[in-house]
Amino acid sequence: MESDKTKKRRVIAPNFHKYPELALQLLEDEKKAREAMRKRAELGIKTEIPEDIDKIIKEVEVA
Amino acid sequence: MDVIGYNSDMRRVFSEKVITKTEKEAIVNWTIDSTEIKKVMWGISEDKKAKNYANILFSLFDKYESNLKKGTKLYRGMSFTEEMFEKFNYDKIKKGEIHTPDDRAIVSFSTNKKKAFEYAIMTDRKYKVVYILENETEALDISKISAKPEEKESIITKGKEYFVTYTRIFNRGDETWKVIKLKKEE
Repeated sequence: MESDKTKKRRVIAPNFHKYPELALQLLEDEKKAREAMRKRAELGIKTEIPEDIDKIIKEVEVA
Repeated sequence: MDVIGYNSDMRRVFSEKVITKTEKEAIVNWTIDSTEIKKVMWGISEDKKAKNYANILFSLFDKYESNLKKGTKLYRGMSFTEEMFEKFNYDKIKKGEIHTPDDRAIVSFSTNKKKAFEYAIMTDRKYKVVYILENETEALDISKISAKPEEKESIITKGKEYFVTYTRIFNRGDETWKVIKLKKEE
């Protein structure tokens, strides 16, 4: 049996580097998202979190 | 000895007033567009300028203490394809696990929940992930230096490990949402 000293800690990581093509896609889309957000801000469009999602996020916050 | 602006280990508390010109430049470039810097951090680019910025940004965490108020919650919204959601292990994050948002790169959060949410909805990808990070004591609030202060951005360094204290997954139309609550180990 593995002792506590030798037991490897299990850490879940996204490992973006293992899938460089997907990671690059992600970065490019994040860049587009940022540009879209900037345009919305320039146009004065405010983002509201839909009530159902906001309710769940609040439930998770206090859970 | 009372020295205002210093903590007990003599790291200075992060602020726009104490950082150097090159540190400010690296932060501003990160907030304008972090794409190239992240590529370097993930090891998929060797761009020299971005590498220099990456090194400066990593060094901030050795040099400065967090300037966030105790108890501040941080949020991060993301969106993925189903393939990304599975390959990047978001399906495996469950209560009781230990999770690092990124083991190689600096990660951006926001103290503004709406801004984080906006990131999640700004693409048409169907898998949305929202982090709620509590009790983070080493994040640097860079909003006063940022090119986009309205984003209320705070950054954490690579490999920070957190307890997953709660997850909730739900469907909304054709979208799958996962809300993940993380807490720093005490």
